Amino acid sequence: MDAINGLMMGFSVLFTAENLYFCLLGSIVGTLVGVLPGIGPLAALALLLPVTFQLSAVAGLGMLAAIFYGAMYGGSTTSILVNIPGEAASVVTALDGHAMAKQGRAGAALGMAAISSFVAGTLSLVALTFFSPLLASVALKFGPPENFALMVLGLVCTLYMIGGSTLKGVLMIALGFLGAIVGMDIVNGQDRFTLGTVNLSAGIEILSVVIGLYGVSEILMNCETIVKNQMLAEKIKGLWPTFADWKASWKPMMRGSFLGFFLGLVPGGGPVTASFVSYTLERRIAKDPERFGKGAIEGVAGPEAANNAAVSGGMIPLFTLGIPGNAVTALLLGALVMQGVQPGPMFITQRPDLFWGVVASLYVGNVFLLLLNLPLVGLWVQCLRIPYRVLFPLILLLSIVGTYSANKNIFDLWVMIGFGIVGYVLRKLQYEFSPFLIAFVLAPMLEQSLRQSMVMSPDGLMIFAHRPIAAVLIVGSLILAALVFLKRKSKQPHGDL
Amino acid sequence: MFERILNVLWCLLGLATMVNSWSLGLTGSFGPESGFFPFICGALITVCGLGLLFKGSKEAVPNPDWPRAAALGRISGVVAGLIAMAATLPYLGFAVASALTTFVLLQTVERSRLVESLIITVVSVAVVMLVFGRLLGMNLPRGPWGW
Repeated sequence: MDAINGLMMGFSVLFTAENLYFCLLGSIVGTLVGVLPGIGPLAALALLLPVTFQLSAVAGLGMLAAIFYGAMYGGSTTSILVNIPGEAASVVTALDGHAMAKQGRAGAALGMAAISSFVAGTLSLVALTFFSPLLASVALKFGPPENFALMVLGLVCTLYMIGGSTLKGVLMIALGFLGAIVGMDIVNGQDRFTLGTVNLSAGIEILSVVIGLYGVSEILMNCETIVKNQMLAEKIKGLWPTFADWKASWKPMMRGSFLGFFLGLVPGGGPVTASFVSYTLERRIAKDPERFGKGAIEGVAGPEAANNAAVSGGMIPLFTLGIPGNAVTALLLGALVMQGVQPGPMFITQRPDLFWGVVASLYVGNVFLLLLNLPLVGLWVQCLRIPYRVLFPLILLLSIVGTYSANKNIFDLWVMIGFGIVGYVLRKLQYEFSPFLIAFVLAPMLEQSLRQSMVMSPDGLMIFAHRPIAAVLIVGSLILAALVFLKRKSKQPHGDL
Repeated sequence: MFERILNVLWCLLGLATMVNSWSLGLTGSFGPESGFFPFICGALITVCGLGLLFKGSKEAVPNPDWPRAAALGRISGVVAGLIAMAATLPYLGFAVASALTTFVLLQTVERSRLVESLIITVVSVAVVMLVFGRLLGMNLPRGPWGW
């Protein structure tokens, strides 16, 4: 099935009242999450993951993807208007966006942010539409050794891209593996690290881990200080950019789209990295770089395009190889596995309805977000009036219900609380969670591929040298690993949570 | 200091994992056994723990922003609330356990006014029960009174 026919089928799958409703709901929730500074997109995704159990796979995945997209859109609104980035990928937007707002050009900045996001989102979705089937057909040639080598490369790439300590990153990967290993070994039925309790025989529930690490620890961080919301008194006008704005922005928008898409493809890359790299690039190639930080519209168009394009880019390795490149796609992989779907090279051929349905939902979600963000920008600004003490009990109750819903087991709540406390401490010590989560999700596949490779091989580990694709991937991993340890931290922030 | 203790804990966890993995068996006639993969994880954890321990100040966060006094009280309050809710949920049911926890947290941690706390509690619990219990058909724990 070619991409166009596939996409048409996707739209026919998507166009049911239920699917469209949840796509719209995801767009609204995502924008709200992006606007409100008290809760990040990952925490919101983690908290709402259990809701998708009750939905069809297309509706559930479409809603989660829309939340992520929506957070990218909504985050720019508060960055521009009140200089408070609702989420990390909008930090650079605040530099020039807020400066424009102070000059009375908030409307143009908001308009350009939304349009750049829409254009980049759509362009990267077109690339996803045509690129995914191609990559999947290549990946069909992969056996267990190639899959193992690819996952190792993905993890090393994640290490390369994270900010902070490499040792802490490796440690988090190892802890993620260890967490996922707990439970019964599916090959021989042997209990591993269950501490003799039946509750751990089935393993540690991913929802307890995710909600604890991202949801509960974020609540604890927010409890340290009273989150005070700010309001913008002045009225926003002139959302449509001027001809001069367009002229200055279209090239950064295109560069941001291209850059964001490819950075999204790379494991460990993602919207935060993409927005920072795009901003740096625009400032570096500008004829008058001193304008940046003082209200240059290119500083809004480029990063906003890049962070949205990175979202679609990150979906490609997830759907075609079954490998999540960042914490959000790891969560989406978790959601797919819970729905009984295993993404990978066979995913597009075995479940074309689901793959193309989700791709179609991304297109529609992008349109919903443009419509929600441009005309309704005033409404989102009003949401900043909601005090954190109103949101706090809701987030807390959602954490409890979300965790409990997976297995109806109180033990999962204790695990969630444990991970929440540990997560809070580790946040303080600047450990990153994305390597942990990616390793946690990949561990079962990685171990299975390693075991299958060894069973296939009469020469033990030499199988990775005898198979050309696996050998290239392993050599690539080793070179990259060497670079990781040689590289000293650059001053540019890279972390992508 | 705290980070040093944590790094020692990582080393101990890694060593314990390696010992336990060894007892599970590392390799057999069909390749890796149950202990092989966890053994590698244990080794990685130990090496990283040792690395963090010996690199000391280079890897450590210079001045971790630990909460003091009021902030610590608020965090402890939330953790206590979560623990109380997990402990009472099977006996009191979701509605009562969550209402009690929310109300107490709003009064103690958020220091909201009484009426405001009552309203937020009722609305929050009602919204969650309506969305998850009714609309999504999820079976939330019930108390001895049937709800």
